[in-house]
Amino acid sequence: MRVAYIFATTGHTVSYKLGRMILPQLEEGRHGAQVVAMFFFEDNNYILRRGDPLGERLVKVARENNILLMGCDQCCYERDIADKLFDGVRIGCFPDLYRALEQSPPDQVITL
Amino acid sequence: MGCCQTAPQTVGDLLQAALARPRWRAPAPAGCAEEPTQNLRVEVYLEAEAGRIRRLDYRCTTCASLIAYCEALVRLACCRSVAEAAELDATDLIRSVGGVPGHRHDRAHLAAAAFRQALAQHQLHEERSPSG
Repeated sequence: MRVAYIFATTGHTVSYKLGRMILPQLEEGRHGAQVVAMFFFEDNNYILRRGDPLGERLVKVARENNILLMGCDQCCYERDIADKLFDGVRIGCFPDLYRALEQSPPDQVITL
Repeated sequence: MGCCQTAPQTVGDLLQAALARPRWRAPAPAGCAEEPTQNLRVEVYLEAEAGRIRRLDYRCTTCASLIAYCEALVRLACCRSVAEAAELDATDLIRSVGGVPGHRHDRAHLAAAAFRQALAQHQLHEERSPSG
């Protein structure tokens, strides 16, 4: 099964669900689904900022597995990090996400 | 509309300004530019008097980067002479808006293209008018 994750809520979304479950499972090759994309809203975008330790691991896994990483553009602009993200990580909004997913459509979109 | 502000602005500030200021629409846009693969469009409305831009506004697709560049265009071009404004290009827009990643700079080119067309339309109108 191919999935896309949308990290929409804040709190423990990135540090716990992504950092302690999804990411380690992807690193170990036992996540159980093929992740095609991750889209980040609000404070979750800080993981995409260059230098973030969790982000470095995520970007490495994303490159190895061809996972699209995209930050919400307005969320990133609001936080002044739009031009400070890891190389290859793009900002965008729904049209950009849908256009990108057309190349590799998921079976399920999971909102966390 | 803002006038002649050249200090770099953030996208957030420009989005707020776009929402807050009163808007002006001419009956028809003077200039227009499109990027069909991304469904992006900009219309520029321009009114000049005695060789100086008196009113300038735009209508564009709801893309944050594009709105920011259009808003920056209004700030940079408003109140300038038409000749001065004609010197403005996408590089000026990119320079005037901070924090936009490179893959979004195409929006500045789109805004500049619509503005160039608006200026060209204005010139054409001036040449055709009996007093011009």
